[in-house]
Order: sequence, then structure tokens, then C-alpha cells
Amino acid sequence: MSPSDPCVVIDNLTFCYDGAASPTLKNLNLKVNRGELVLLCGPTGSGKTTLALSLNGLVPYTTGGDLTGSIEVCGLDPKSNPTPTMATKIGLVFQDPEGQLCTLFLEDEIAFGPENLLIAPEELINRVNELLDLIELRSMRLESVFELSGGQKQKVNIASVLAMQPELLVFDMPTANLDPVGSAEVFKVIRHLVTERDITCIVIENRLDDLVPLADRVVVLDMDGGIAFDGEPEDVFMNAEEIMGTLGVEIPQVIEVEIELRNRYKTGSKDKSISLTIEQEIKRMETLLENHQISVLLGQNGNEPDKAPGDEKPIVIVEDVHFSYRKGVEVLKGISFEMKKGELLAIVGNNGSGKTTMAKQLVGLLHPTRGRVEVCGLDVSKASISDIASKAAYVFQYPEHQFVAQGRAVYDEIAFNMRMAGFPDSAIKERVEKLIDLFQLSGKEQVSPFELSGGEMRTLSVACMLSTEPELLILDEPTYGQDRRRIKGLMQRLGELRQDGTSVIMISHDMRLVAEYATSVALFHQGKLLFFGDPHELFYKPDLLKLAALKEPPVCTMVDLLAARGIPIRRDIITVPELFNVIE
Amino acid sequence: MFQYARIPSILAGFDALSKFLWLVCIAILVFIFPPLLNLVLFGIILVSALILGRVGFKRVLSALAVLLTLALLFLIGGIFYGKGQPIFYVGPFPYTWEGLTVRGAAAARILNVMLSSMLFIWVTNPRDLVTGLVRLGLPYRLAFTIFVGLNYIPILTHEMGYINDAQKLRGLRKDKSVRGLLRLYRTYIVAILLRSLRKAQITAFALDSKGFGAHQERTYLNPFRWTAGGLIWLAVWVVIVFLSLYSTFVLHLWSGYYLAY
Repeated sequence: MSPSDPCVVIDNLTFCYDGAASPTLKNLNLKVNRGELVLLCGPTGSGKTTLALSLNGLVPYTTGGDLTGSIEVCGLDPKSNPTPTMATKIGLVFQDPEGQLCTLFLEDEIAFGPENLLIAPEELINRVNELLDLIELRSMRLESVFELSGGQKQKVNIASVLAMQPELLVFDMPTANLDPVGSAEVFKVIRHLVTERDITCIVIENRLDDLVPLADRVVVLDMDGGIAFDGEPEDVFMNAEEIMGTLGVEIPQVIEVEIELRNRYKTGSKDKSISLTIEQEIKRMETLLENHQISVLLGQNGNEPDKAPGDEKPIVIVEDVHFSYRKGVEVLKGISFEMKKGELLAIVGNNGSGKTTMAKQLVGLLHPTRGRVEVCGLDVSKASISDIASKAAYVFQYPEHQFVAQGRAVYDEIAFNMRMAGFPDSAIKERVEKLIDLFQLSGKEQVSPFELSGGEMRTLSVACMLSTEPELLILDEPTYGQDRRRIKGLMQRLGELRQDGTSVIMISHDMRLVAEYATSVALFHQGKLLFFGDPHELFYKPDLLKLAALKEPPVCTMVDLLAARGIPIRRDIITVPELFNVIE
Repeated sequence: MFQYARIPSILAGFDALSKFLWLVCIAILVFIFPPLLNLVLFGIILVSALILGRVGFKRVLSALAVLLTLALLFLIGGIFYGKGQPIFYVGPFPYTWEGLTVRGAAAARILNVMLSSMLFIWVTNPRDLVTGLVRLGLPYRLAFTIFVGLNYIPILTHEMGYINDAQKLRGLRKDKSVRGLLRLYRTYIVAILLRSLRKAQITAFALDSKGFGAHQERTYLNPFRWTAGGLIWLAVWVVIVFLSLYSTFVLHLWSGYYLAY
């Protein structure tokens, strides 16, 4: 195979899962050249993962289903070569960092793949050492992989696939569990692999801000099982409005700004490509400012923060909370804050900072070793967990953890809490139907929760915790694995609930989401609360963000750069609409 | 309680196969020893765990709590033995000397087999056991099946934690009636099964994607090596087994125990 040969050639691929009404992939054609970094995106349920699994034969041989058309990967046909043989050419990194671990210890995990490929022990040692250095975990080589943080586990997964030295690497949402800085690091490693080691990479992602500037090519799947757009990022995102509007896929914030400029002021409408980096966009804005095509309004405020409705009575009071697990290491170190009723509080921080531990204190799953937690007027150390659960609901990161009415339908899952609490059938029916309608699950009432799509499972997991009308809703990474349309839909539902007086706490790594929706933000780092207050303030504190491995939304960086160039712009802008409130 | 402890110790430094064959020696001994010698054996394993294995009092005590409860259940089962001279009565059932001896012997055997197995798990890296079993001629795919099974212990422990939390928050733990408890356990088992199946599918994907089974053989980052310490340890126990067999079948010092109970 010569370097100019394509690495992947897919011709007229159609695949349908057993029992599915319509094919997941339909007449799909794709060619990936060697040494390319291809970003594969698309709405939830568009077949991105199915496409990835078909490249090494897991689809259809392990998953079942009917596949027609032809696939060639690095000269091999996955239809006639078993997956272990395909593994000599293609490596896959999956979304779930824990499930794909094959061994118990870090160095064994990295060596596992090449051991299967009969690599000599001396070479194994070299590869393991080199990759441990690359992921900066050499000092932990003998540690159990199950003791690592989510981010560290995913780095080990990437290293374990790299150790096989494949020609093609496919990453399926590799940063879904990582904090923003961790995600950016992973993307840089991927770019390094393409540039320095000539490995072809296909990356499936929903969060595009950091990846688009690094990608050579973008492929956008549609909901009909085909490809909506395919080309260089500059060209593909000329169709940004369709990608965002019709397909519901997130686009980089820089491009959102560019599109808004074009639409409002008809600037650059003749350009055939679009700015992908903050620097490019800043230059464009500077030119527009110099030519007086746009101006910055002095003294004009951005959008008023979304103030909480209702009274100012705290619904959550946390006083000097300390907490240790059995090993004795303190996970929470003197946390204190108050949350007003009707607020949307975002809890942010890097992996292992204590966010989930704090959230579990609020529903009584854990009790402080010192200090006091009061939620909805209940002291969580004294109240029973069922009393707390009737007022404060907790939605897990993985929806399937939430489902307890096993073997039953969506209706029963939502009705479950009310039945356990002894509500009459008429009240249950009324409430469940309302929630099914609110969360757009109509028609799925009698479907098993496990047959729903990932996005529907997420909305169901929220719906089933709202049946008893809790005063406080806590969501752990609600946007995990969701496309922009579903995120917006979920946030709209939460907005409606807040209007009715429900308070919301969400743990998130998605800083754009925090900027757009949170009324206040709590920043955790190593068990300490580093910041509690307005997100407009937090995103202009670079030292704090750096310390907590977080990144401000790109629009904040743009504002900072404009200000650094002497343009008098307010430094409290954190969303695109707020930016355009000060641009005329 | 059932995981490799990764604590540096004399036993941890021995090769996995010597320790595995030591387990075979223990299994033979418990069946030819009389109850009193089984108790001595129990003491030796306990001391080995604490001194040679350095597994710590806390870990040993947690294990003993489980093992002694099990042993107690065996002893209580002596009520239903029926034969022999009664010591006391529980309702209409006589508890006899013979019942005590038979059940006591069975309990001592179970204790020894379980404690030695636990000690083996605490001081043996599962990876080394796999490479050792492959050295003995076991196909590596089969050896890894055991290994992947061991991998599921920490995964399922985490999963059980999540399911516990979900059940508490959704009110499942509120109903303390027999019906409620039955529903709780049914839900728990179904949830564990569903989660295990999903995890197993992802693990199967990962194994295939990492070339598992691509070749008849595979290489190892840490190939199996016999250790001098392990072999000496094994040799001592093999001698004990031979002496015990000699005492049982030739000298007839305690003949019959292995048959009677």
C-alpha cells in the first residue's frame, strides 16, 4: 500500500440492526486519505458509532444486523477478516473509559494489545515506557487501572490502542469524561499522532471548539443514515446554520460569532471560507472595527443574568462541610455556600475535584464527617433518605443507573417513585402523562427504557425523578453524549420547571452550557470551593480556571484579546448573544 | 475482601504457580487430617497470612467474620445429624457428639480451603496466575477468561454502589415488608444482570479490538518465571503432604477420617 492510497474506502454501505425499522447507515460513501485527521460529527442517533464499529468488523459480526456494500480499511476487508486480525491495522477507543479496560494494572493494560500481536517482550517494554511518558503516568505504572480518575482511564485507553501501532485510529467521543483542559490535551495528542507519526485518525465528537481548528476534514452525518457534509472545515462550516439548525449539531463558538456577524451586518458574505480559530476571527473583527463596519458600544451591558424567580430563601445551606471516605483522605475540605430558591447552580471543576461527592451530600447518600448540610429545610444528617428524596431529586450521570422498574415500560419507570410513595392511581396517571408530554416521550409509554436512544434515556432519567415534584433537581453531567438540539431541549424543560419554582443544580464540564444557563457557579478543586458566584465573574479569572483545569468559553477569549488590542469592551461577556449586545 | 492486595511481602514475592500448587496441597491435607490437625493447619495459614503475607489484621478479621459465620452455620447443622449420643436437645432434635464431630470436621475443612484461597488471592497478582497457567499448558484464551472474570469484581462493585444509591433515592428501600424485600432483591439482581451484560459487550468489543485471539500464541510483558522462594515453599508443603499420606495410609495414625466425614 503506497502512502497516497486511501486508508478507508466505504462504498454504498447500508446497515440495519436486527429488528430495527429503518437502516442506521444508508448508501454511505466515504474515503479517508492516509495521514488525515477527520472529525466525524452528527446528531445523536445518526450512526456515528455504528460507522466506527463497522470499520473493524464489530458491526455486524458482534452486534448482529444486516450489512451491504463494501468497506476497505488499510487494504483489509473487515467483512472477510475477523476483528482481531483487523486490530493489526485499526485501533478503536470507545466512549466508556472503564468498560474497555481488559486488565487490572496500568502497564499490563498498555501491553495487552501488542502482546496479542506477538510483539517481543523487549519491544513491549519500550512501547509501554514510551506511552507511559506520553500520557504522563509513568509513576503509576503498577497501579490498578480502577483506581485512576475517569480522565486518566481514558488516557490509558488511548495509550493501550497506540501501543499496537495501528495505521488507523478511531476515537468514539474520547473526551466525554474529561475536564476541558484534559479534553484539549487529548486532541493535541491526536493531532501529534497524525502530524508526527503519520497515523490516520477519525474522531467522533460533539464538542467541537477545540477540535475543529486541528482537523483536516469534517464529515457530518445526517439522520437518514448518509453524509450531509464532507470537506475541509472551512468549507463545511460555511453551512454552519444548516448544521446547527436542521441537524442540531453544535458548531464551534467562533463560527457562531462569524455567522452572527455575517447575518447581522452582511460582513464577509462573499467569502468562500470561514474563520476557524479565535485569532482569525479577532483579525476579522479588528478589520471590521477599523473600517467602521461595526463598533463596540461603551457602557452597554450584556444580557442581564438570568435571575432566579421567587423569594430569596436559601434552598441549600452548606456550612463548613468536610468529608472523608474510609481511606481517610479528605475529599471535601470545609465547603460553605448557600443556594437561593429557583436558581440554576452549576458545579464545575476538574476530574476528582469533589463535585459528585458534594452532590451526594445534598441528597443524603453521603453524610458530612464535619459540618452541616440543609436541603429544602431538612438537615440531611438527621432526615431519612426517603424524606430527602421526596424534596431533592438526583439524576445520575449514566441514565441506566436510574432505572429500577426493571422489565417494565417508560410509563412504569416514571410512575415508580409515586407508587412507592403511595400516591393514588388517578394522581399518578395525571402526573405521568404530564411528564411524558413535557419531555416529549409520547408514543414511547409502553417501550422498555433500555430500548430508547441515548438522548431519550437521558430525558426519561430526568422525568422519572420529577414525578414527586421535588423542590430541588440535581443533575450529574446532563449533557453527556448529547447533541446540541437535545441539550437545548433539556435546558428548555429545566427553564420551565424553574419558572414553577424548582431549583436546579447541575454538575458539568461543558463551560458553554454553564455560561448560557447557570445563574451561579461553584468551582471545586481538590475538595475545596475556590469560587462561588456569578459565572460572568468566574470566566474572567484565568488563574482560577487554569488551576482547576477549566477553560473559559471561546467568546471570553475573544473579548480578552479584543481588550488587549485596546478595544474598550466590557469584560463580563460570556455568551454570543451578550457579545452582540455590545456590538453595533 | 476478594482482591489482590498488592502489598510487598514474602508470599507476594513467590511465583504464582508455586502458590497455586500449594493450594492443591492444602486441598489434599484437609481431607486426610483429623479435625484437630485441621485446626492446627488453620492456625498455620492464619499466621502465614499475617507474617509471610503481611495482609494486615483488618483484612484477616473481615475474612474471619465471614468464614466463622459459615463455620457456625455448619455446626448448627449438627442438629439434623440425628445419630449418636445426645449432648442437648433443641426442641425435638438431639444435638449429638457425633453430629458435633462430623460437622466440626466439615467446618474446619471449609475454613482451611477458603482461608488459603483468600490468602492466595491477596498475595497473587492475577496476571501472574494467568501466565503461570499458560505455562502449565492451559490455552491462553481460557486462562484469560478467568482473568476477565476477576476484572469484573471491581467493575461490579462500582455498579452495585450505583444501584444501591438509585434504589435508596427512588424509595425502593422504604418498604420493609417481605414483599418489599423480594421486590428489592429482584430489582437488584435484574439491574446487576443488565449492567453486567452491557459491560460484557463493551469488554468483548475492547478485547476483539485489541487483537485478542488473533494468534494461537501471545507474548507477555511479564512472562512467567519460577522463583526460588516459591519452589522452597512448595517443596516444604509437598513433603508435609507425603508425610501425612504416609501417616494415614501406612502408619494408620488417623486412618478413616478422610472416609468418614
